[in-house]
Amino acid sequence: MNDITLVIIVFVVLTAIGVPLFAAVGLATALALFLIDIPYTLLSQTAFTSLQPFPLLTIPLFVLAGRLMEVGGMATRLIDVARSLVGNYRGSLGLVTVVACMLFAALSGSGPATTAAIGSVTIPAMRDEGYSARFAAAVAASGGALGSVIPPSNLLIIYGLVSETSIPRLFLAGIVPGVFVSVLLMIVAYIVARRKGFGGSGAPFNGRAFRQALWEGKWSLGAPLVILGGIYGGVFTPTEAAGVAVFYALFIGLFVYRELTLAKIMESLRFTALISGLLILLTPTLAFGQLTAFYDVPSQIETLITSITENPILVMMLIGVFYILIGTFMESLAQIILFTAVFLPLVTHLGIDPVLFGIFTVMTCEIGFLTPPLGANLNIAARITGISIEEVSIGAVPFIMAYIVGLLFIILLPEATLFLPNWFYGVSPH
Amino acid sequence: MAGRLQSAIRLADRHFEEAVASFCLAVIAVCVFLQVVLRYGFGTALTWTEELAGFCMAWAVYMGAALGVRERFHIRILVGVMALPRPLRLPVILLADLLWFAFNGLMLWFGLEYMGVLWMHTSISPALGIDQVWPQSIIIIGYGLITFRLGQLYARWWNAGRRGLPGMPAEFEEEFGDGPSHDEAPPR
Repeated sequence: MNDITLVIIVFVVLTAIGVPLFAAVGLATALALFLIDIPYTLLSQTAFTSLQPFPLLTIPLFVLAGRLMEVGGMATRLIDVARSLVGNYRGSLGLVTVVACMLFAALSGSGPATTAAIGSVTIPAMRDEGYSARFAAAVAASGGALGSVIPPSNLLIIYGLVSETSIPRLFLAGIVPGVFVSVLLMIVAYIVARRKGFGGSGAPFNGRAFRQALWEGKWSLGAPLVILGGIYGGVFTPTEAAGVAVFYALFIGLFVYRELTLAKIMESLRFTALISGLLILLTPTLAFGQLTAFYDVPSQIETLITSITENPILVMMLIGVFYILIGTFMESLAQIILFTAVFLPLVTHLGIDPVLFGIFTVMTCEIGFLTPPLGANLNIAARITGISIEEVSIGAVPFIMAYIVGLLFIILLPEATLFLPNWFYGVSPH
Repeated sequence: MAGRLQSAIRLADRHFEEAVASFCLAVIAVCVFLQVVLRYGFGTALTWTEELAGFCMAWAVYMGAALGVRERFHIRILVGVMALPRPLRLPVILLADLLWFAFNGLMLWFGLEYMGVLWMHTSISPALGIDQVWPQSIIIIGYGLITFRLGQLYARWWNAGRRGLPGMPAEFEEEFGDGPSHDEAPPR
């Protein structure tokens, strides 16, 4: 047995018995360093340096901004906008949830956070109007997953960092698939609610109410304009946009909506600290990545997969199936950090744009949010609704179909995803 | 006097990591925002904001990681463990956490060695002009705290009568029905 196989087996065993992932990667790396006799200080070096890249700051800043916007009253304003836009008829609250998630996704970078922000308001509202708990939870969970593909997106930032792909490009590429899946989700929500006869009837779209909600929500709707407008207007980098978003959220929450308190700000910081702590996974993984490059693992994987097929579409589908399976029990953050380095060289050889692969990866992560046993969104929606994760996951099946169609859309029609970034920045030079 | 000291220790025990991490995160936000404000408002730039924010990032991550031990927030894959028959779960988790301890020990060792190198060959950070030993000491402090919190988790589990699985996320505790009730983990 050669060294690298041993290292990989050790890593898999450690992971399977429940060693925290960063420690599992770290131990496997230490073993590899021992086997090939490289100084162990590589691990202690990356323990610090891998946390230094400036774009990495974007993640805690967007997490903090999103949390401040959520607790500072922006989420409720967005729901009002969505509600008046959709109107009130059979099944409309499901659509409201999806639209509100879409809007919130444009100011938050996280799928689970979007589920929490929107679901905590719309799930009780749906229950009041006689929607089943299963449906209410499932639509909030699956709408919330949009948070990770509609820019800004923390998962896309992580992908951009580990794959050295332009983050603004990734953000632009997320828009079309994000909107496409949103529309599919709305269709599914509408059909299901219609068939089950959920929700009230009456009050259709009312232009005046809509304009009023739009006006009331102007500061919330302004946030994506500031964030995305700032990035694409060339005013600031994504990292700076995240910094501006934090202060924008503070300003609106404190002085306009006046819903932010010191306690809420402290809680948001604490929450951000917990999420930032997960980034410790980056530190041994960077060292591990250097070693896998040393052992030429990506090219071995490439030989293995291209021996099955060299058709890029089939290869993407194989990776997609693998990612969806992995995503059922692995956190998205870990999935992206661990596997991007393995598969990206392969797909770029087959002529697939790294930007496209990023959107594809994140779309599989969104399915991961919705599949048990480990589905972050299911978890949150179940907690809000008070039903079991299994129950929500059954309700989520039709919505997962929408995401799978979205995945096929990305694979089969790459131009649709890449059109925006290529039009804005020119075709990327690789 | 002793009472005050005791309550200070209790306060630090409860809030130390989150206080440091929150402070670092606030510094990051201010540094990044300051860059934008100075560029557009005053047409100047600061050289040290980026470096300071980077240092604070490392500190926030390790403090957050130590906080995550106590909150059972770390990413670990438990499907395999939960698929085992009940009597086997505890030994497997004990083994996993023992290996986690071992990794922390390794990192403390490698980290100390690395600190020694930094100490011998002084390296000054380019923008702030401080000795790299200080910001990078977070590797030792961080892994020290992670180890300490893990030990604490076990000590509490032991004292509370060794029920359930130590160090398990709250959602897995429900399956045992007898674990202490914890604050709801916030959504990731």
